[in-house]
Amino acid sequence: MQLRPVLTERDINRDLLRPVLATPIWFYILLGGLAIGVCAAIGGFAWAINHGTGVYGINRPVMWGFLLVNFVFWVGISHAGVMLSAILRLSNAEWRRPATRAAEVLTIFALGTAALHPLFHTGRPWRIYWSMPPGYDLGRGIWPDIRSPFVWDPTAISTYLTGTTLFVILLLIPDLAVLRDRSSGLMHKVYGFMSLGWKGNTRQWKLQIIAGFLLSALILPVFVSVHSIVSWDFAVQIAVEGWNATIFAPYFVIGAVHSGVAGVISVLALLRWMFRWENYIRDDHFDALARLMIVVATAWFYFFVIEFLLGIYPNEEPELSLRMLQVFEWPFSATFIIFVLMGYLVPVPLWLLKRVRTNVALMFWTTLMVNIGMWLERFIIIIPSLMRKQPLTFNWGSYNPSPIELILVGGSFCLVFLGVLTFSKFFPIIPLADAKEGVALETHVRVGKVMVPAAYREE
Amino acid sequence: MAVERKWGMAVDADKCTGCQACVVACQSENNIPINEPDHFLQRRAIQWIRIERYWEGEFPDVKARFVPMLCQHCENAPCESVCPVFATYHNNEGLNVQVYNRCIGTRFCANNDPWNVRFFNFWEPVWPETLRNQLNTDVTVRSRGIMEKCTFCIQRIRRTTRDAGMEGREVEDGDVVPACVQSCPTNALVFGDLNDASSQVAHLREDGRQYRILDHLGTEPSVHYLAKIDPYAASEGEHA
Amino acid sequence: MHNGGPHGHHVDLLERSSEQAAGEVLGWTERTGPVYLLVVLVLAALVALGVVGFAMTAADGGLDSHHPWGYLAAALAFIMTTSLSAPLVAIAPRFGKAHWNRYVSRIAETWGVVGLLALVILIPLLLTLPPADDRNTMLLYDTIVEGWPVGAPHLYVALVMVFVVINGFGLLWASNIPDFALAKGRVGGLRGALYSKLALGWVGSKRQWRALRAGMGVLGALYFMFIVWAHTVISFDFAQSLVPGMRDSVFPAWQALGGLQAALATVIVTSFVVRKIGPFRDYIGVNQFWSMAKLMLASSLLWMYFWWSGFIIYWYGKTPAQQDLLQLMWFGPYRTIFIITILLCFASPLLILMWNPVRKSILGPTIVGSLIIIGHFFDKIRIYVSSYSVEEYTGHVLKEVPEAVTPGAGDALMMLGVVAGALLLFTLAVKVVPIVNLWEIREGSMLQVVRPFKRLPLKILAKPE
Repeated sequence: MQLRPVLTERDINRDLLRPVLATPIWFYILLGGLAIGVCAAIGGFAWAINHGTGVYGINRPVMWGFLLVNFVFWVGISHAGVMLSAILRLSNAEWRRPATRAAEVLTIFALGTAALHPLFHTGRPWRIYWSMPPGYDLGRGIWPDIRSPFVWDPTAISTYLTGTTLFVILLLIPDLAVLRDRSSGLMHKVYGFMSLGWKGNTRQWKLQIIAGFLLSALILPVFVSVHSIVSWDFAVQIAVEGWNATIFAPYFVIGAVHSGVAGVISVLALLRWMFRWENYIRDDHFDALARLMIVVATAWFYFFVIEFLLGIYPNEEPELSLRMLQVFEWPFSATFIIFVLMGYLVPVPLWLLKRVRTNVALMFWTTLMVNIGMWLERFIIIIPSLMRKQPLTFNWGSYNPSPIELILVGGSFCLVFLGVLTFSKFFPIIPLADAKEGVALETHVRVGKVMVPAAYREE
Repeated sequence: MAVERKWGMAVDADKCTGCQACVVACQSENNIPINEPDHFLQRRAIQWIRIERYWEGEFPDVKARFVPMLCQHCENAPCESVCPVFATYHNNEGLNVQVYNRCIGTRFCANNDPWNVRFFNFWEPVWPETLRNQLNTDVTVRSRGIMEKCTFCIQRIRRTTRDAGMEGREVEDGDVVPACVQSCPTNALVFGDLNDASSQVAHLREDGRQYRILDHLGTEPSVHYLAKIDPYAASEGEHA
Repeated sequence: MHNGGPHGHHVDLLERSSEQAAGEVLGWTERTGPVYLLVVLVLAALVALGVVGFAMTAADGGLDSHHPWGYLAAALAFIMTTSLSAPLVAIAPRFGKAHWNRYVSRIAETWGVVGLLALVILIPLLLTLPPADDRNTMLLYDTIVEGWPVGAPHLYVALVMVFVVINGFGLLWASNIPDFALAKGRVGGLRGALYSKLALGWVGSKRQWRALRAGMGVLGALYFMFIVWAHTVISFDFAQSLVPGMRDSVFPAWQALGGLQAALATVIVTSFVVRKIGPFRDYIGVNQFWSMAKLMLASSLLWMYFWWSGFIIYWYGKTPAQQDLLQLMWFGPYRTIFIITILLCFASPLLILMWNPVRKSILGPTIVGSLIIIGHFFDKIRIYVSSYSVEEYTGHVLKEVPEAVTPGAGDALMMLGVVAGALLLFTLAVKVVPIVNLWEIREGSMLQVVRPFKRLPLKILAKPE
């Protein structure tokens, strides 16, 4: 078998810091394009504030539309960071190394973007702090209603955002010190301040590793709680039969991991292509991630099937008509078919082939497909359930997204990618310290005539 | 007050002719913006009370059924617990009340309202110049971005209670008349205190035809319906 | 066990040549002493008592109604959750290219033989399960096809269970083929002939290895799916669909997850016992218990999370139907059992295994594993007995919450018999198949080596791509 190229620490510094220290021109062009998208979304939001929530396509009874779909989607994407970083760190998986920071950064920006959606969504966004920590309306002595999932939600999301940001900053410290030593002027001062006096001595490393493990373990419950609570925004509502299902919390969490890990793979493929990091984000990393995806996707599909079957099983009229709408009525029939194909039936059989798993281009397209499918999944859960609420057929409705909503959705995508790219301009998006540790621990074991890649394991 | 009030309504589906007088009365009493055709087409019309029309039977043997639908003022209102800011809550007179200047417009309550009787102000309400002086001074004009819904004409409840207090007497059954009840030509709507055993609405509650819409959700609505009497068809309470 | 290094660093690797290991393991497999015979006899006697219990219940309640069979259904679910799920502990880490599982994977797979017992119990349960005509089941009535699909749901339950059992045996056999080939030359007589037959002409060629790996991969993946689906179908058809108005979609998934949790517990406890009575002290070490304990702690937390996901919806929704179900399942007549379950399956793993020294020990995980198994025993009783006791199983709403059903003598004997039967099958099986996977540990000794890393001896784990 082919041995991996030998990388020295000098190579690692040079390759991984290239985007930070020497930025190509296309990078700025790309940034500019994304910034235009974000500006369009800002304009759309301003338009909505100026004219009223009526500029969206929502109506009665479909009071929650594309913005909520997109909110759930981005919260879902944000679940990859911890999933990969914390779980793989705790389980000592070697192949996590190049993926962790990209995943965490994607988490931060996806979550931040998701957190903007309630602003777009509510009727009076300038009063939204009444339901959010740390604002609330405590100035006038009025507490929020802690029974409402919309109070749990901001709490969970802000905890998760804080935790992940801490996580990223903590793991950045050694890399920041490297940057500090390689920059001058203002950036030198900034990196110097952020690296908190890192010298790389034994005590600092010890603290760093302990803190990394602690944060990993502490953030896992938060990670599960965030999407559970997002699911309870829907599932606690007895008025909407399609939502009032007990499986929603684990179903949303596993769906979030499904779309999130797919998102990370897409981002990694893009990074590898943009910055030519073939030696760092290797084919075997995609292979391992794709194996993980098969398991996650199948678990998610199981939940989907159970949720669907148990929806039809009681044989009750309103729920049946909802499911008929979801599956058989135009245009939901089309979205349903696309969703099932893209979310599971096409990518997963492909991933069973090792040739696909190690083909970066195919991995990029299949994971992109998964995320299209998962966006549609949220759409199919949220919109038709509202259209067929309760047996009072007089009020059954429909929904068409408005251009403003489409602009906001598009802008949210631009914002996330803008965020990730900007981050990669200022900080190494593949952790240098982790890559070096991986190289140091990497070794080979001779079995018969072949050399099998191996790693030292400290227990 | 000696006994706590629990305001409720009885709707006799047998008496309802679907004339929509209640809808118009409610509209003018409660400063509801004019519902233009556009609003209906966008499904954003605001009608605190509406006549739901259902068809029964197959053509040509088809009958129209009318169900006046308004906020059910549930005892265990599902819309209340989901509001993050206490903009809707239950008061001690059995009313499910909406605090306009507290609402931030998450529309969570509208989703968790099985009857679809909560309305969102998608636009700033406007009235034609000629109708400016028609607005009821007892009722807030709602701004955009907030929810609103039937209040059981709480302004009339307050006024009657205050007047009775000044006259030194108790509010009696029939003193408080919401606009829809007042305007109903067939007396299909009856309003009163469900805690007052002698009130007409409490009597109607004991009626054999009594049912509550979506009763299986266990929200304990304060609006009771009396089933249609149909000499030709046996099916009753088809929406319950 | 290798203990060395300048810092007293503990490196956990088996120090046996494959020859020694084969001698030790096969020797133990062949040996049947008087104690073993006594155990088998006692277990067989208990199984006979179980048959008596079955006859008592049949004579008492008859086979016309499903109501008397709640405890038998609970017993079926219990052995599915523990024994039949146990092979998952061999399958999942294999997919994750772990090394610690090599020493316990055979124990896990061997539990698959209990499938035979499950099939036997399934027969009376299927006979008494009410027909689908007047109730709802997951097989969609009048939706995709007119009326009911043929044989719903009995045929489908039976099919899934048969697949699980065949698959379990297939997996056990496949993983044993190289070991049988190794053993056939070492033992003579009937046993040798059997091994040689079962080894299917294994010579260890490259092609055979590739076929074996592919086959075990497919069988493992299929077993995972079949057992999850079997948990889903059983918990659905024997519990949920007998309770009108119970629309708890997380319930089947929760049961499947409970299977994973109890599987780990089962393998931990069995490993402990095997290690105590056999010469396997050096094979099954702290590393195995530690690795499984971590997973067991995680699955216990997830188990509670799944329960909570279901609970919060009912508790928040508070519709009359949901309140009745809360009463029936959790807070009504079975409240005590439910609290015991929560304490054993959630509180004990959390409060005991969260301590690092306890988690990284042999006794700690074993104690927690036993508690979890007991907890699941109670949990199955709570679920199935309460579901079977619902008088009016048709319709859309639970009319009344039935009283708790206390077990009669017949019920107790049946459950005893089922548990003894599962143990008996396993006890018999360990004298046929080598209880430690010889080829997997040989492979493991090639892929795990100890080398100094800057003077400190460290374990190196190789992961073939």
